[in-house]
Amino acid sequence: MEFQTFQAIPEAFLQVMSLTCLAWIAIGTIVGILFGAAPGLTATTAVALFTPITFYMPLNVSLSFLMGVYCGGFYAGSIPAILINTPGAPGNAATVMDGYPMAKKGRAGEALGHSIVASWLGGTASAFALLIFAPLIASMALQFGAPEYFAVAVMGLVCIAGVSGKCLAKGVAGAAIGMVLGTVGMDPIDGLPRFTFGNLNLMGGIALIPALVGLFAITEVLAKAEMIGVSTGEEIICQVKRALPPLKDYITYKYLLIKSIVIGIVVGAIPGTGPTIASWMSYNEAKRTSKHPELFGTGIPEGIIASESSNNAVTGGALIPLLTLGVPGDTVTAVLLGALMIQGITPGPMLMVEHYDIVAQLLIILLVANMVMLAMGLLGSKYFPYILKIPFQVLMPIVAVLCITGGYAVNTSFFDAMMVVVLGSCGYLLVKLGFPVAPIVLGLILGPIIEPNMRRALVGEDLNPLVFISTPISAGLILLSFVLLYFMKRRG
Amino acid sequence: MKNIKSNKSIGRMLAGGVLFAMLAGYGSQSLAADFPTRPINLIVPYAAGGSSDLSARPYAEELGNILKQPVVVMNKPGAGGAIGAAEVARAKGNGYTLLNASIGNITIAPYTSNVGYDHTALRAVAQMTDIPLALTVKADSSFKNLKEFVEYAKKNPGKIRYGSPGAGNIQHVTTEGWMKDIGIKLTHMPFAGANPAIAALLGGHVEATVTGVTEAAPHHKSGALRILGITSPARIDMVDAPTFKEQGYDLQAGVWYGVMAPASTPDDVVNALAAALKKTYDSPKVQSAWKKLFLIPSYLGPAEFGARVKKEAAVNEQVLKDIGLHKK
Repeated sequence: MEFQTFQAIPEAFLQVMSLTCLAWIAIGTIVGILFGAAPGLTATTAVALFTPITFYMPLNVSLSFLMGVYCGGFYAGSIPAILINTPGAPGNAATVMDGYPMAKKGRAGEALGHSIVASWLGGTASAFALLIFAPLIASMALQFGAPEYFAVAVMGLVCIAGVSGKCLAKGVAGAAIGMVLGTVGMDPIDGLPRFTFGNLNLMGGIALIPALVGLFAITEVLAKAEMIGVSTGEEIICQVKRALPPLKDYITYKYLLIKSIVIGIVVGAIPGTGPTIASWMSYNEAKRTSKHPELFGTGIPEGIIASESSNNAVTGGALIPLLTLGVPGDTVTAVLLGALMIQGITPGPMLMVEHYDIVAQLLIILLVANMVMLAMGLLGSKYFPYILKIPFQVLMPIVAVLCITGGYAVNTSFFDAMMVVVLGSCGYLLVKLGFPVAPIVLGLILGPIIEPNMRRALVGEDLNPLVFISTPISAGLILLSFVLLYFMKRRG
Repeated sequence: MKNIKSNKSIGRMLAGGVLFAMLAGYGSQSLAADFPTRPINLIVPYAAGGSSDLSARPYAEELGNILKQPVVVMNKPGAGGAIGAAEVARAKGNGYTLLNASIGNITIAPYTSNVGYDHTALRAVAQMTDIPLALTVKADSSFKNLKEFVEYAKKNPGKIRYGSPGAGNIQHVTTEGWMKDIGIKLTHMPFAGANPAIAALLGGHVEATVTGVTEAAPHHKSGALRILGITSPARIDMVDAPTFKEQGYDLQAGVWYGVMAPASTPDDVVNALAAALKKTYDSPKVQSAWKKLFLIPSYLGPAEFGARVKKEAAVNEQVLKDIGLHKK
């Protein structure tokens, strides 16, 4: 295996270094950045939309394009997160916490610079992890049964304490609201409609993207509408001196980076989790271990670096179970599975052995796509902040239109477009009453992981509640959740 | 001057066209020979990139080439395919709105929830692919064949946990019906799709899975899992696994994808579409695309496909009643 690895890599490198491949990687990255940056459109949407085009492309071209989309999309969601307080995709929601306050302080360019460099580091490190640790991580991911998924999601809930802002009770209440919203739709275990009020559209549940766009973006648009006409005390200065953050920052934050990237890779490799959980966990962990946790949420680079390095580390992580087991790690890789199969390649245990050349190519493409993404991101970081020069009364209606269109576009559903507006209005009221938005979204994501896995675990073991502490991984994770809570409480 | 004149003549032509179209409305039967005169929408009631979408894309393009009109794939996901299916059921029956139907949204969803349609609101045009189900266990499992599996299950009711792609899915309903027929009890563990169920089997969190053979075949080939039985009438090329039938169990089922149109679509439009779909089906390009996706090509014309839908809807409705999933 080792020997084969070294032989395959230079060959794959030559294959990828063709003009066609490089051009398609660049096109893919641009498409990914555009989809990622538009609120409501995500890397998943882009990969799904463009997969049919790749049916008749040669394999390396198809992979170049799709990997470009994948990497670009995961990074670019941070652009609107930083500039307009709206994550472009669920995985960038944690970036809002410090990215937006930093932009408000007039340091938008710097925030974007941290975001792109952290994304690049995360993506690149995860590509190497894919090469070296794939079989190891894959076998670990298989250990995850229902009790373990439950335990991971419970650990995710602990993050709520970290993102609740001033009042923990309101944060917990927000998470509960999110989890209740997450129960709408088909009951995951019994398969019967629940809280749908006879509405067919609600049978699929409250879609995450419209909810995210509504709660973050529409809420922000409404809040900004209040400020129109009032002289804004916080004029945003968008002179960008340099986009590339000083290297010494990254030496200072090396442990933070390593931790966040490892969290991203591991969470990415566990099928059914994805970038959202990874980035919140990393953010929370960064805050917990920081010397100055009180500064998190005020606009410090650590918050952005933790979230962005982690969510891009998911890209390589999520490919691990896809390539080694044939089981997609997240929604994007689920679509990629189809794209690979149409090329006559079945991801799975045999792929690594029979077609190592393809795995090697994928790795090189991933590395190149990350470089292209870095170049474009650094260039863009100098210019994106100028968006903020647009007056509120012009920018905010544009954002609102984009959001509602994006909400429609995900499932070509008018109902989803309405959900954006309804949830946005509710979100605005909640924010006015002092409830933070992040826990609501976190509840909406974690609820549908916690509930079915809790019930599945219990059904599988004759309703014995000890099932949650009967395996080392799940017992360990639950214990860890309590330990984290204890330390967070002690530090205030 | 010339322009105005030509505008006038265009106007006359348009007026004539409108009149013609109105008359045509009365005598649409006779005009079906010209069908189609504009693009056709093919509604895929699941998200882009899913298996319903992948089954439709290869034939949509070819069908467009044959009919000389584009066939536009539109994804209308949600509610397990019911939102897209309901839209086609409500559409005008003129052949320009078609559904990439599948067994779940036609023969199950109408009986578990109020979706606003059932199979009688739609007309079968042609079945395109059919994928048998597979009962799969881990390669190191002690069950070497179906008989051993069933015997153990008979002695230990509820001890075997089987994963399915979701509650109320065809895999679940078929298995429950089979359990009732032969008198065994397995514990159902629904997952969010076939891949998570397979992952749980690989990790030893369930003892068996019932999924489409598509998802199980690669693992059977690699030696990680063993397919105990597939539900097709005869063995298939894709994978070397025995059928239920040859092991003495009368279970035939499959996840089919096919084209359905609103119930009001006239016969000659349906026949014209079915003929074009047969040509599409025979195209080597479409066949090879399906095979790469592990979809098994299987054509049925309007009559046979319609009979299959009717029969399966009745069977599934009964099973749903038996297992308490039927809407009240």
